Amino acid sequence: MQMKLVAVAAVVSAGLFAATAREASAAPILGAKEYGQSFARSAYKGDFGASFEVGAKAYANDYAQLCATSDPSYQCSGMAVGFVQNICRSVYTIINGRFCAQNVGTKMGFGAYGGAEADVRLFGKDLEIFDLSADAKVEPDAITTGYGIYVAGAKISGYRSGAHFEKSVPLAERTLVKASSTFMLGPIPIAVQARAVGSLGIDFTLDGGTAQVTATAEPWAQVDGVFSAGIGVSGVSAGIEGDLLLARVGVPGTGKIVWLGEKKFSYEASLDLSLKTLDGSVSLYAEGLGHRASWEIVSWNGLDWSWNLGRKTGAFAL
Amino acid sequence: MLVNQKLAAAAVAVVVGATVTYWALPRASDLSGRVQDASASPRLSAASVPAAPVKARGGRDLAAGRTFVYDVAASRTMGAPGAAPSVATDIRGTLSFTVVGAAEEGAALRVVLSSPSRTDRPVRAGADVATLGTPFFVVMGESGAITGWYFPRAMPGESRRQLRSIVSGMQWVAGEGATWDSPELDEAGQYVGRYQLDGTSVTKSKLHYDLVRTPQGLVPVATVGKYELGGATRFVMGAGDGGWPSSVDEDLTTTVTFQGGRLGLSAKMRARLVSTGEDRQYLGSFEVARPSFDPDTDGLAEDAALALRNADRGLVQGASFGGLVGDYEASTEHKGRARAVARLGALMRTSPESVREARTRLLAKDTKEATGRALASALGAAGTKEAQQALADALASKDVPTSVKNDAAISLGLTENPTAEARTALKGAMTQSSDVSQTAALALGNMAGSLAKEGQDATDIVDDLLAKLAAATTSEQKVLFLDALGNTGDARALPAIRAHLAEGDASVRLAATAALRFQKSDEVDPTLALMVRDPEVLVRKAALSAMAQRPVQKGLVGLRHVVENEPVKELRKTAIRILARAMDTVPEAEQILAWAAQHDADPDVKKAAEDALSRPK
Repeated sequence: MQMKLVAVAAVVSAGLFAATAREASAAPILGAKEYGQSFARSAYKGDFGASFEVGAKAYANDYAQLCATSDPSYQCSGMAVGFVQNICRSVYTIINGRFCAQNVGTKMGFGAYGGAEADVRLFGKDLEIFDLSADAKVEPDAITTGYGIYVAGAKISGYRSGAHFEKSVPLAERTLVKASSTFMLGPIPIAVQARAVGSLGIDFTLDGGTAQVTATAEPWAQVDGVFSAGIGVSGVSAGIEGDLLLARVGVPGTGKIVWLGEKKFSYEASLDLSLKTLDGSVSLYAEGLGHRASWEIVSWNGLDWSWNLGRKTGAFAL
Repeated sequence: MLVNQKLAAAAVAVVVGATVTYWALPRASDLSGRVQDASASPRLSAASVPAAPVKARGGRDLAAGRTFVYDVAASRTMGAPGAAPSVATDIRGTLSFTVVGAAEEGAALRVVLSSPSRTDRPVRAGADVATLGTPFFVVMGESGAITGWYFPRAMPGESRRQLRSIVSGMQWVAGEGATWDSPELDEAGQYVGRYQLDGTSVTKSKLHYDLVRTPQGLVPVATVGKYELGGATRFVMGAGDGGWPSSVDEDLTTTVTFQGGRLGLSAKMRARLVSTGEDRQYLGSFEVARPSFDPDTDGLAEDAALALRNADRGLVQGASFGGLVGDYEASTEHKGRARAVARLGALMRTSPESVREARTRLLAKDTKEATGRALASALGAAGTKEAQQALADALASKDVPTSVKNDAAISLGLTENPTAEARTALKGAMTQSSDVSQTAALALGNMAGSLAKEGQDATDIVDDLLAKLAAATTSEQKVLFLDALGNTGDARALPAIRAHLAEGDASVRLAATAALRFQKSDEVDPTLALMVRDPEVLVRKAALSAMAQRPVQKGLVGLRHVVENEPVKELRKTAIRILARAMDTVPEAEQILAWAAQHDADPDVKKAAEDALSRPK
């Protein structure tokens, strides 16, 4: 059974390679557009760092067009009957099936979403730390809204709801990810630990109507690095003092899309962002009776960004 | 047509080649596997002993009963490299080596530091001097190489490591020619020593460490960081001393660049051979003492745990539970609150009493909601059995607000070693208000994942979630249970997840796609490579997020597709971010990034690719 699955996966992979190779010269699949505001930044210093992506977007899909332009007979035309065409057809049959399944009713789908996600590098390890998102959308057969909070890949909060969803989700400060290392310095075992302790949350108002979708969401996160160190010797204490701000990010964002009839839409997206990252210094200290020594092991000057990315509006047709 | 056939053939070749290469490569788990600490076994294993024979120059006198006595003064100081030492230990005494019998790889020697004295800076409360005088044994070959260390269980690990450091510092291994190298073990790991003969003296320097000692055994140096070595040890060989040096002068420096900082160690020692003779009273004592030897040669497991406890104590800095809660409530900035929660977690790991205090506070009606949430989080960070019970009690309480229950459920879900009570509490919470029950469902999924990592059975949780998914009648319910099953990473959930990938409702497709992220099956990556072609942008985004949780090597097809064909530039940037993580280990990742840096139509995406390529490795 397992072998069969692997074999199927390999065939699909082969098909995807072929399809990818062909896509560069194939006719484009038409019928989807997206507009909005987004922002990404990263900063790394040595074994520490962070990167962020935030965005507020509005999008629309014309399923009739997507269905037509992804048809295997259209995409794989011009190929001689044989192995390559079979692979092309098998890949586009799957893709086309998805588009055409939505080609009902209004044949239009549109929505708005916003969110923020971040990675951190602690002790040289890159870790996905959080992903916050909220969205509202109108599909030919459903109007739904939802939000999600992921920490280190695990979904810890979030669900989908109906056409209107308004909520404030504040989560307590908690250890989101941690990294540790224990090593010997001569005869002395030393343990160092770094924790990314953050509070996360999202406040949102999501509305999905038959002709208009608005997603106003403010994901926010503050993540501090909390360090500790100890030596495996009794009677002498050692530790780490100091603070490191890994990230403070607040992203009020709004995505709004209005269906103007036929294939026309107007959109509005705004995004404000304040971001501060990698600020502080950390020192290792040792102390015993009547003596204390400390020395800095790493420091950051702090990186500040504060942008009012403003409002973007416009109209488009699919 | 010919071109297409070639393309297809190339594609198949790439896949087959990649598959073959994949199976030929060591798994990540192999790479992270620890090298067995040879010193933990009775003697160096054959694998870690140099293959090339080390010939003794004149041979070491290892006749039964022979005794060599040294006057020793050793100093080990630790601190910032280049700065005044911050922690120092000086040890003095009379160190005697007595040959007490034959051993497989040479002779067994009884070693004892008589009249030990010890000075610590800073002054250590209760510094252990007497145990430095505990006799122990080594096995030495004719070359002088020490191949086995044997300490009695009753001897503290710290004393063992100090003595091992001194005796290792006195170790010289004979070889041929004017210069020779010798792989040797000391208290910090396995290094290569270089010897240079200069008349009647030999100078030894440590070239580099190959392996370093950790609680998990000897591991490659890169696992910890970098060890830079300086200085040398000079051995003067006296005539008629049977290959035993008449004097040893050690002056070594070690600088460890670990993940997060640098520390330096200076090791100095002066040893002088003060007498040789014969003492037969200990003959056979090695065999007699054998049952008392500790297989954890350096007692490192215990002291590494002590280091972690000390790290927690260092974080707490003597604060009380009430004081830390006060700090939390008084903090107006996140930094203060985050630190208070981290310190509360550390306190609860080291003080069971504080867990009881936290439980009382958590369940009290007048506790502020934010404080309750923080306590729920800190109890989760503590993770002890008692902490989990306190969280379970909060979930069952009618007086605890919903937002606190949500944090309690999240904490139980993220606990590394969940108890049966915690499992029962989360199951019970699934019958509560929709907010708590939805969070509890996600938490149960996370708990099943944690249980599986611990090798425990989570079948009941997975079966229950599968049954609920099968019974779901609305898209919202399907999404919730797909999300929860996604958290489990359990292979039994894969068919159900797969069945929802083609649903018309994009929300369900999105949840099913996201739920693939922790699945181990090889079919997942090609499936995700298909899902990045979904018409719904959020499904494509979910597919990318799932790829972010998986080995980049396996997701290259999908990631390449996104970089080269995805119309939404933010998703192309997400793919670039994922690829950037693997730039050091997956050559194709760098190639795709280079392509994006050169060919992407959007300057922002180009810049992201350029930044990724220039990111520090």
